[in-house]
Amino acid sequence: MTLSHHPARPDQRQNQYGDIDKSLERCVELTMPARPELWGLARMSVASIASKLDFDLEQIEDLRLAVDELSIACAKGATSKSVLKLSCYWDKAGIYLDCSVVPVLIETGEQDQYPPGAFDQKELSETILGALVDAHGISAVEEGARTGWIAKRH
Amino acid sequence: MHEELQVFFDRSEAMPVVRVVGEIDLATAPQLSARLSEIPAEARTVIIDMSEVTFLDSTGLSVLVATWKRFSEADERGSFRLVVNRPAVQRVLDVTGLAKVFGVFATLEQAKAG
Repeated sequence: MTLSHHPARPDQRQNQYGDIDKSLERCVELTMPARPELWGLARMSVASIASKLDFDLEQIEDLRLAVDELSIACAKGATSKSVLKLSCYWDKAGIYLDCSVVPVLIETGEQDQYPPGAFDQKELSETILGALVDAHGISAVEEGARTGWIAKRH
Repeated sequence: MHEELQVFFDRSEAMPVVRVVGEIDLATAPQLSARLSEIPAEARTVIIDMSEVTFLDSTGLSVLVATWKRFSEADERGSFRLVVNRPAVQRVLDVTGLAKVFGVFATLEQAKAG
């Protein structure tokens, strides 16, 4: 697992958040095995960042849940070898999260690490994301990765 | 890093009470599902005390929905009650509309009184 902090890269955000302030100051990236027992760390990290911004307690709780739902959505089809990468950007207007999980394809003979039915709650997950964040998107599998993003403004 | 989930049963009273402590997410929802399946379907009323649940996501909700369906199918007059007093848990029930489906109470005493 790695946690890195470096200046944001506007070119990576432009397509998804074309209307945000391009003078973003910070980016934190979290890379870890795509194992659900580790996602508490992602929730905690994003909540910690949000608490240093102008988000109130309810918004921070919303973000904790949204990060979890984003991870679930991106991890569909993940294997024991999959890696989850979460990038968190922020500016004066809000907070933006990109998530990707690779590889997502089950190889021959490899067991899906999630229990049967683990992703049957897709409709609930979509409802939750739609209610908690200002914008979100989940991609189909592209180049071996499933990606998603959320944006929550103050 | 990850809070363990604990599930306690109290069968000493007429209606079973299941006390859940910790975070309910993709990692722990199967454990909750397994424990809730131990409740006999013929129980007329079941109370899930979630006052010590600190996190609930869509996978946890789907476990609750499955349990609620099991009781509804067994007895249309059966009652499925949740005790919820944490805003974060109440919020996810509200935004999904499930707060109107389940009986949600602020305290265990209120849930028992129905």
